[in-house]
Amino acid sequence: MLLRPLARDWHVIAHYCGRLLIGVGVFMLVPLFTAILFAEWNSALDFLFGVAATVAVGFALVTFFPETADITTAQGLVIVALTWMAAMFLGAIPLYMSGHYLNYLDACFDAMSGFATTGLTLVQDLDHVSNSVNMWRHLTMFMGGQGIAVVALSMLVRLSGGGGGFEIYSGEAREEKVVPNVIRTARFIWIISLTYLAIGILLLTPAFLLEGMSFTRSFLHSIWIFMAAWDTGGFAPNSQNVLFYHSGVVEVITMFFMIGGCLSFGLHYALWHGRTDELGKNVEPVSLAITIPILVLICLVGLEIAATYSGFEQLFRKGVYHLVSAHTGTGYQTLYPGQFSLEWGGLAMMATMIAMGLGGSASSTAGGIKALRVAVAYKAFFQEIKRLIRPQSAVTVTTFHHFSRRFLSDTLIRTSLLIFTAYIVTMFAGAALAMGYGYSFTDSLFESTSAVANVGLSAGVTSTSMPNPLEIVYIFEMWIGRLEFLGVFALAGLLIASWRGK
Amino acid sequence: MKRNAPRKRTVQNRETFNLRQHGLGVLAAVGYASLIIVISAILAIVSYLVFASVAQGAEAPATLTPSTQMIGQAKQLDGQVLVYEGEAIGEALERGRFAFVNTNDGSNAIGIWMSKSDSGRISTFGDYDHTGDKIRVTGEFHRACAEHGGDLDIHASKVEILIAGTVRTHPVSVSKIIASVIALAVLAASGLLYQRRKNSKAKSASQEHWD
Repeated sequence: MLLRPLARDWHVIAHYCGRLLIGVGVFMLVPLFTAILFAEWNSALDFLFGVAATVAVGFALVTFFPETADITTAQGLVIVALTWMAAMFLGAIPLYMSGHYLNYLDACFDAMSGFATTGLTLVQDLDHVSNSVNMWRHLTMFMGGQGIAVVALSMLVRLSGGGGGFEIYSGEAREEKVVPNVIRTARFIWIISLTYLAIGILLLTPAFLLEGMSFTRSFLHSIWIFMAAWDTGGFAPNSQNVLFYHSGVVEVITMFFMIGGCLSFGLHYALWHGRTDELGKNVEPVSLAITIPILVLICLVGLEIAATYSGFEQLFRKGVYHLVSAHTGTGYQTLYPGQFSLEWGGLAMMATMIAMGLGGSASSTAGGIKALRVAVAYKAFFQEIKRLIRPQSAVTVTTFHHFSRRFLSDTLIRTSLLIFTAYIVTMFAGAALAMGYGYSFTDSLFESTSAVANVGLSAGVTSTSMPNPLEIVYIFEMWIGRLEFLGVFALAGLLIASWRGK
Repeated sequence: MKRNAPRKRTVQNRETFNLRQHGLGVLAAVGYASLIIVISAILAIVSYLVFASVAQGAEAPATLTPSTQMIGQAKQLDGQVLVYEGEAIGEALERGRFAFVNTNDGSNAIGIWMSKSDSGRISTFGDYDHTGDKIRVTGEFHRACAEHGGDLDIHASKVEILIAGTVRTHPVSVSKIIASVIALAVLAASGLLYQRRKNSKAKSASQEHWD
């Protein structure tokens, strides 16, 4: 029997959504100050309006729904799902006001793409976008990568009055706390991210300066390129993405941060505390260390068969970069979108799609099915084979190392396969819709996989000329993929219970 | 009879006279026609020579290849000398004696590999505050450049500055000012309301505590 949620349950959800939105609004001050610093007065007004609207909505929700209580897991998931959707609508306001989007839906698409660290974009005339708008585009990725709730939990919003911190934190597809206290976990995520930001600026600024870029542009580009690489986002401040720099050095540095971003924060914590043995023992980095080289090899063979590149350097540079970009869920590219489908050939495209689908680590900034679930599926497969071979009375126990020794339970297998299946079904459903609009099967599946796994590589389907229903489906895919389905499932469940429950 | 005889003679004389006149007229006409033909021929030769020399100085209109065609038909166009026009954006990315200048034709930006002397002639690059110089590039198109890690680019043999770049102005919108003021007023009102409710809640909580 479905239990109809009480009005109070919705009020609690609204209250915490309001608190999180105040956090989003406060972060919008960063592009506002950027606009003031660079005397971009029109953009400053856009962000002033955006800050005021977002914080006002947050205050209104907190004021009119003052109820605070202990939050259940389901409520935590719903709060996160609704906050992400509201953040998209409010975060899109300054983007739309900038005049670089054809309509508000396109601005919403980019806002969700930013928060979900996808990287697909519908921005117009990106080469003439202001510094403040670029700052906001990349900051959405930084916030989304760490988690909007983490942003609020760590610095800005005190979720007092209830013990809902962990429920909200885990609603953003975080499997576990890095440290026992959720606030300290959120703070550690920020410490590690800001440390890498400093390293990113120190590495990328000189690289851009050597290219002849001015100091200001080098500094700004280093912040933006780092944010989108570390948060496995894929936005760039120029229309050619990373191809703009024509630089192998920039490609190597961004690859380093892409790989860093796709490792879990738990692993970063272990490395931070000198437990380097986790790199060789933990099932996630081991899984990534197996799947990335295998898929790189398949991709290179595919490119060789298609005779896409004549020399080894081109083959290696393009193949490795895009495969790593796909597997880590970043979406940085040094190719034009059309080149994938026109030049790469079926095998290389397939390897890239599989890499996008597999994604990075659980509790990282990356999207996709995740290395932990891939490892669980692999272990479960061989466990079943062992069961078949061994006598019926034999008890087959499989363990794996994920920060500690864990048993492969049926519950874990079931949950992993549920998410696995949900990703596959969503990828094909999105592809089917695009095919209905006349796009080829390969391009449709490539783009849909890119959206749901929050990657951002594009075969050219994402453009301002794409039909609005397809655009809405991609927004939905980015949202549902980033929250790993559970938040959206919980929201759907709560809505159904409100309607059909007793 | 007497009367008729002179008349006849007169007619004869007249005919003789007319014939003479007619002969002269034909000659004159032929002369005029020849003169006109000669003058026309001279004029034609002179004008041909003049226009031919002018035409020799001007080039035939260049066939531009847009970026969408370069990307869409990259395999067919690979290695061909193409003409491309667009706005120089960002900055010249220097590599020793050469530089990459990314050039946007409105659909995509293509990297142009050119000498530093050519990139030095570009005075303005496009960004938020500037519209960059419009340049025309003639050069060899590479689908996957062997020299530059497989990038799609053009190695320029000739770079022309067509239109100098300009400063872009962004006049502050009055409607945005009004909208921002209204939003700030709403924010202030909601903030005050929030603070008031918070204070009253704290007050009632402390009263309950004393009771």
